[in-house]
Amino acid sequence: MHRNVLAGLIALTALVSIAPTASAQDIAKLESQVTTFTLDNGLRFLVVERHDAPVFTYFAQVKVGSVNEIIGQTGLAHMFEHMAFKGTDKIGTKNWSKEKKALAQVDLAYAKLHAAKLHGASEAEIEALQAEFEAAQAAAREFVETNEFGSIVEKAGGTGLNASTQPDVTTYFYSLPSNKLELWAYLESERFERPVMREFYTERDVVIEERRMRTDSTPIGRLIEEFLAMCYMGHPYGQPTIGFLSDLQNFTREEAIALYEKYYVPGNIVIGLAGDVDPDEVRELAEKYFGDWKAKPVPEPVRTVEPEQKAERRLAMPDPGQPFLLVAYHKPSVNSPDAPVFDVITTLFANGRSSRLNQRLVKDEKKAVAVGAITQLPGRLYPGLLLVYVVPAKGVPAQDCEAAVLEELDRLREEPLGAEELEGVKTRIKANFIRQVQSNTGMIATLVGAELLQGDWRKGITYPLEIDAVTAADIQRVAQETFVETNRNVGYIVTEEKGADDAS
Amino acid sequence: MRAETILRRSLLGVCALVLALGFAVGDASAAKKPWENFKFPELGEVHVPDFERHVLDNGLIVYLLQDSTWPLVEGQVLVRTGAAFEPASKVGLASITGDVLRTGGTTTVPADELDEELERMGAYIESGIGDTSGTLRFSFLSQDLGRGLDLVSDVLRHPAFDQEKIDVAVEGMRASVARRNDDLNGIVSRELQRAVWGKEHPYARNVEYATLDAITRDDLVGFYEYFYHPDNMMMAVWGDFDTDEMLAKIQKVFGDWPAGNVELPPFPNEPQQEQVRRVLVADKTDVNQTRFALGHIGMRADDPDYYAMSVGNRVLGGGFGDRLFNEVRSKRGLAYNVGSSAGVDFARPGVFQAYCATKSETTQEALGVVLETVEAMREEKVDEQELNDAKEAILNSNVFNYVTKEQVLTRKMTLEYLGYPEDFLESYNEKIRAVDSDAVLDVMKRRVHPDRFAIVAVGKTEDWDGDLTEFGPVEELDISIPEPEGPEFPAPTDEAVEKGRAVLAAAQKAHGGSRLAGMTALRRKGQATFKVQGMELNAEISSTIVFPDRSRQVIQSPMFGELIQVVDRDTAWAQSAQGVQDLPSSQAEESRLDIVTEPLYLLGHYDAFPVQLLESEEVEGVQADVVLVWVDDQNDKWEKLYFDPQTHLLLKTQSKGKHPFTQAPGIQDNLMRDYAAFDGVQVARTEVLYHDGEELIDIETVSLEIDPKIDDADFAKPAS
Repeated sequence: MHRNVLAGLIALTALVSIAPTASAQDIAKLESQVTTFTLDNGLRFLVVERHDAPVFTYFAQVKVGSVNEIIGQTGLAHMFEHMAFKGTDKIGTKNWSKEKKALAQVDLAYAKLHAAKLHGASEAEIEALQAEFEAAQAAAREFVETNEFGSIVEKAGGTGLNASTQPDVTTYFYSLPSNKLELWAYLESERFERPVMREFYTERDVVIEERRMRTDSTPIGRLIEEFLAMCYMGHPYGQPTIGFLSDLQNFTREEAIALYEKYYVPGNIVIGLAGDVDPDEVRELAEKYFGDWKAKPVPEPVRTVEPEQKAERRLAMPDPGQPFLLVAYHKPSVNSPDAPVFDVITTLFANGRSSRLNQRLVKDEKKAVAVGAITQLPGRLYPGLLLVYVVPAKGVPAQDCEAAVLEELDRLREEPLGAEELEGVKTRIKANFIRQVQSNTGMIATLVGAELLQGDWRKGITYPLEIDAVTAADIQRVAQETFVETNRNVGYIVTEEKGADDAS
Repeated sequence: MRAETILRRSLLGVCALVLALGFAVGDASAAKKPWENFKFPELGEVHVPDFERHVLDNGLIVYLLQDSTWPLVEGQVLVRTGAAFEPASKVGLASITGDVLRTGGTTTVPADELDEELERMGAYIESGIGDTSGTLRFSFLSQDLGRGLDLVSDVLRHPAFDQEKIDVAVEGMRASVARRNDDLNGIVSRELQRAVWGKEHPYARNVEYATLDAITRDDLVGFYEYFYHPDNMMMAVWGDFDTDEMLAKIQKVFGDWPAGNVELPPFPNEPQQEQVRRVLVADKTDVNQTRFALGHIGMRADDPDYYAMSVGNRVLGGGFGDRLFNEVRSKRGLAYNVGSSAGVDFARPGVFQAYCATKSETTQEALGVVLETVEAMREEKVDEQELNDAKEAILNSNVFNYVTKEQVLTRKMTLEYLGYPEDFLESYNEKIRAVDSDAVLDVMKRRVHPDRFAIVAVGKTEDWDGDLTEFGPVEELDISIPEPEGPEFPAPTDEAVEKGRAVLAAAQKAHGGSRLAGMTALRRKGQATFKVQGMELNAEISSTIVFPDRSRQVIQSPMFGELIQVVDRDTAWAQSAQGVQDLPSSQAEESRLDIVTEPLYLLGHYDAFPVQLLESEEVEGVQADVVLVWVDDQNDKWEKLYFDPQTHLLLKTQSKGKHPFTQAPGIQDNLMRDYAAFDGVQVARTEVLYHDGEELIDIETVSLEIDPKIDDADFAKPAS
């Protein structure tokens, strides 16, 4: 209750100062569209009512991601995300009681094979156990109704069915025609409460292919993996969300089940709907389908706090790919009062045609063809990075672009921002905010993220007020605290000539 | 002004009816699963919003849709143009014109000011030209409506095409060319297009450095002036405005723009298709996954087969749980990314294709499964369950075509642009509903021809589980990026050759005469400053050259110690603190060719090379005589020598070369200053080497010896 009053006060004081870009009226309008409720088991729902078209967007986030993985099981949160499409004891099976036994056989056969490999069994023994394992998988597959979950959603007219795993959160989403609301409640309660991890070991191969595609076979994928590992010495933000190959090849179905049991608990999940829905009806259906889900303790956050960086870190990665430059500084989490200051900094620094770095490197010096800056990498919940990237022009080594980045960051430390430039940047952020919350997906993603990671969905829509409060002095102070050499991380690709292997 | 206002009320009824009917086509006989028991209420009405269509007297078509939910005014302009109409020698022209139309500023608002003003307003205007149309999109806060629309009009009517911004756009395109082989998916998509349309077809041809080099500002202006006329464009505006006021405002800023009455060229024809299957393979060693795609030209959306093809493709590879997804991904674990595309496009035929990314070791296996799965679509009817699921997925998701105002308005505009009936989407449902399994089988047999597929596969071939010959004749695909071509030189006239020799004769005399003509070897010592990544590295260098094919370079620096590089007739090696290693053969060959490009050697032996006088150019304030020397015309290797016409001394040399650190090819200039006599020869004491304008090395000559004593032991490779 206290928090609601406080949020109201913030909105009120802002009435006076806020520019017409995101008026208090707009914020009040956004707020009036939102209904929230929490089930007894702790599961939170956010409903945004918009009746323009007979459709709704579903967007759920679970506070689990690669930060919750231990070494040896990296990639497991993402692996479970894949398993959440495999169905339940009713969806995706031809005969659950038989399939259940067959799945137990698969686990057993895998455990034997795994143990034999660990204990140095002979090739012949391993081959036999491998055959046994494959036979068990084939037997279990007999009972599978392949991809039934996804087929139900799509047959109902669902679009955009997918999910994503990030370091902090796992997200599930799709849109449906609004007359399929009950089907949605049924499907999602099934998937979250009774997932069956069928086809686990085959899907593990699928995930390994995803790793090959996203990380191993692209120069920037390879660079980012190296770079994040360098930026973090303790906090799991340095681990690849997709997982290390060796872990993907070895983690087990039981380990995925354990992750599910621990993190997929009602109090650790926020479910959002936006569109042509009646909040009362959503509430009824939520009670009916999610009400019997047992409450469980919410897992504790990551304990490890990344130690303060004490020296600049840099890597030069020889690679056949073209040059690419990353410069990053550690910064506080989304829950820091300075979070909006970083958004203003990245926007004025490198996002947009007239941003400082674009003006200099792309337009004036022509050393680069694109620049940008990101504040939410690798995640938002724990202290992350402010990352600047530069795509050098043809024939320009990445390191030739570094000096300009550092000089422009120094300018932020040394010269206070002019009033006009600051106002312009704020107007831009606020206008983009309106563009974002126009769509059902943009609106519900904003609210669910704020509720799950910041503890209050209102923070999603009072964001323009926070941006408005940023001063030139804030920017200079934050720049002076952040852009120091000992907090700097630099990584780039040094393009290798073909055939260079022959020489070394 | 012809004002033709149409309210679209009538359509609303049609859509609501179509959507409300629902599409439960399941069979009632089988035992129902829990979710099949749900009774879905009727779907609410689809509000197709009221919009207006007007045609100004100058032919500009305007669609307007008022919606005051949010304080924004947004829009899109569609222009009849396209890369399909650019000349083959200037591929990239349309794209650059579309980009610089906006980024180059206007005749009254300079480019950088335009960027700043729009961003201060929280607004954007963005323009581009694709294969078959040009677009300009904009968005403003409604408070800035007046200024915003003025700027849209200014950009469309008075673009400045600032040369500086053309350069920025060209740099961007050059970077894309350089980077195009970094992305496996990009390579395969591009090569499949080239394979099915032909490498020179407007829908498939590549932007190359050479085509970019050929593009001038005049080309941009010409392209713009040909296509950008009010009677050749349409404009849709939606958002927070009063429709009448908006129309008056549009009339005000566009009304006096005269019509162009230009005749438009037709879209390119479809080429004759190859009648055989072929497998095109490219090797890429830095990946552990193979990406492949197989297909041929598809159809336009006005083809009567479009509907059965859409349903068939949904079953094959267009959904979550289609056949390819199930067989290749879920059952076999061979891929994360696998699927197919119906190959239907609205403006022109698309490309029917199936695609997949799998680990190197299962390339042949996965390709086999994908092909079999495609072929099965032509052999047997799809079962009723699959058919119904696919149809319902298409029909039930149709409502998502009516979610935003932007969708509704821009779709109307696009259908009109391409000449489709305006109820195209509404009648689409009826036609999908009519598709049965016979129609799917029939369309797959008639319109999908695996025996004529181009199959493109790119990956680390040495790790593949087969050479793919079982699928058809395998050809190696050349994906190398053609290097930027050096400047084109005029054909040598007798006069140019004669004058060139005369300039060189005078220069030989000025530099040392017979001393140079008889020279067999040269040793030069000096102080060099290397400029590396903004740092300066000082070194002592000693260079010994024995003409025409031996050289020994020694670089001594406090930071790296001694580096030696030797090129001899048969060997080439380098020695550093890390030990001795052979140079890669390509590098050795290049270094060998470089030996005779020593200017003093060329001056002494110019009789041995084809030469010609070029047009005079300025070098550091001096109008220089320029002579082109073809060092090796087989390998396109030349040197341009620039002479002071008064002193006949060399001012500069220019040639193609690779950047020593990035290996990027470029043009290298070697400036020569401050002449002095060394061992009877005039030599520049200072030389500065630039690569594409970037200063690389600065050398002060300390000593120079003609025909020094040569110790063969210096050229022998030391034991490592």
